Amino acid sequence: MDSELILMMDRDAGIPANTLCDDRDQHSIARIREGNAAAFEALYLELHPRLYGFIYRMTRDQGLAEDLVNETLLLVWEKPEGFNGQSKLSTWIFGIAYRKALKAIAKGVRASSAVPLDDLSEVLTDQKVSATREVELENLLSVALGSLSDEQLAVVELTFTEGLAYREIAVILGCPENTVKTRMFHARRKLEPYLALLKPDRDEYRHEEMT
Amino acid sequence: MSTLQTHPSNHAHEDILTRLPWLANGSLGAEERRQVEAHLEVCSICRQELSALHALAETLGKQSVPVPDSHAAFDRLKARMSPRPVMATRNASPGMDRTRSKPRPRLAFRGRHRYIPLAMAATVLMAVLIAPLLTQWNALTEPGFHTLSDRVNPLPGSRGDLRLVFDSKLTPPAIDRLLREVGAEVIGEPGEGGIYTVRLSSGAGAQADPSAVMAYLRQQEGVLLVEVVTTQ
Repeated sequence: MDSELILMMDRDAGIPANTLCDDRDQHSIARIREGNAAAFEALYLELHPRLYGFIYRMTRDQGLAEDLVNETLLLVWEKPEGFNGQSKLSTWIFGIAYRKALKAIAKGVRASSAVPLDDLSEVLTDQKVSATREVELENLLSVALGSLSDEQLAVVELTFTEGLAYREIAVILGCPENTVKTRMFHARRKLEPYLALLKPDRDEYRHEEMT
Repeated sequence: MSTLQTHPSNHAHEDILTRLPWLANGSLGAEERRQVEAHLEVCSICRQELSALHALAETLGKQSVPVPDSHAAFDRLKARMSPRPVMATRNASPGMDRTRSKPRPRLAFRGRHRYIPLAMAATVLMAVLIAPLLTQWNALTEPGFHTLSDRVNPLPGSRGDLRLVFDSKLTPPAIDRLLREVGAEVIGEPGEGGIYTVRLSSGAGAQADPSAVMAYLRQQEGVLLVEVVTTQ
């Protein structure tokens, strides 16, 4: 189907146009299909940092993340015909990366959170957190993120780190949009004890709750 | 009160609540953003949640990830890159498909192997004749359908896990509330088909009889399917 037609249809349906394959994507994939190594290198250099960050945050393993990024992009070079033009080019590539990361995680590369969620809540409640303790907060955030399932973690990272729309995330994860929202909802519930500490006016907030 | 706590029966509110993460990251379309922002003007719970989401986004953005040099990484990949592999695209010009220009190897059966094609043909013929018979036999010995809990023997009254499918209009908070009401805990993330796997707990709020729980769930609006999952 003509990409312009897809854009028109989706604009009518209220789908953000920036979640769709645009002329730049089409030009890039066409050149890669022709075997243009320079076009592939340009795509590689553009996506490498984002893919690495995403896979690293999923697997917490630098060496593995480097390998998986290259495996992902090598697949793009070898099988560019796999891109069907129904999403952004980067969305398709993130989908490949996601599946590779999940496979690696299934082999046990990512250690689960060392602190159970209930214990984490206690730790967080006991901490007197100040603005000068951002490092500790970041460590606690890592623990909190470690309590999420792989699928929930992917939704959180793709939303807040990559800034993607839930429709794009649904394509990457290969699931319905409602499932993306559900995973985010449950992830938020798990992260809530941590988020309570981030509120600058949390004492007032707690007071408000009690009254 | 938790920012995720919702009005008990406000579908519109719950629907907006689940979209807030994407308002926070700025990816909502114009029309959807307008709807969400209109709701925010009248809903303090959603405003609190949005504030918390902004804080989460800010903290996640501060996470340091040591990204290796992209050029060096590409150099490593180049060693593994074959010359442009052949692609089979509809738009490709005929001259681009290099494999088709190669002569396809032909099978040659000579000497004592000359009967191999005959044997292969006989095998195919046997398969064609026997396959319908096997199909009929299977139809007599197996149920004519499979359910979500394939290879499952439903045991009414047992405390097994359940597989549930909800209407897409049912919001995550509404699903969550319903599951808590019957004392069920999600043990399997909804996947591509939106199928939940839940476990009936024995804690507070759990109903005594799983059959009663299933019957209750089936009566609820937005619950499309309830099945027991047990292993044989």
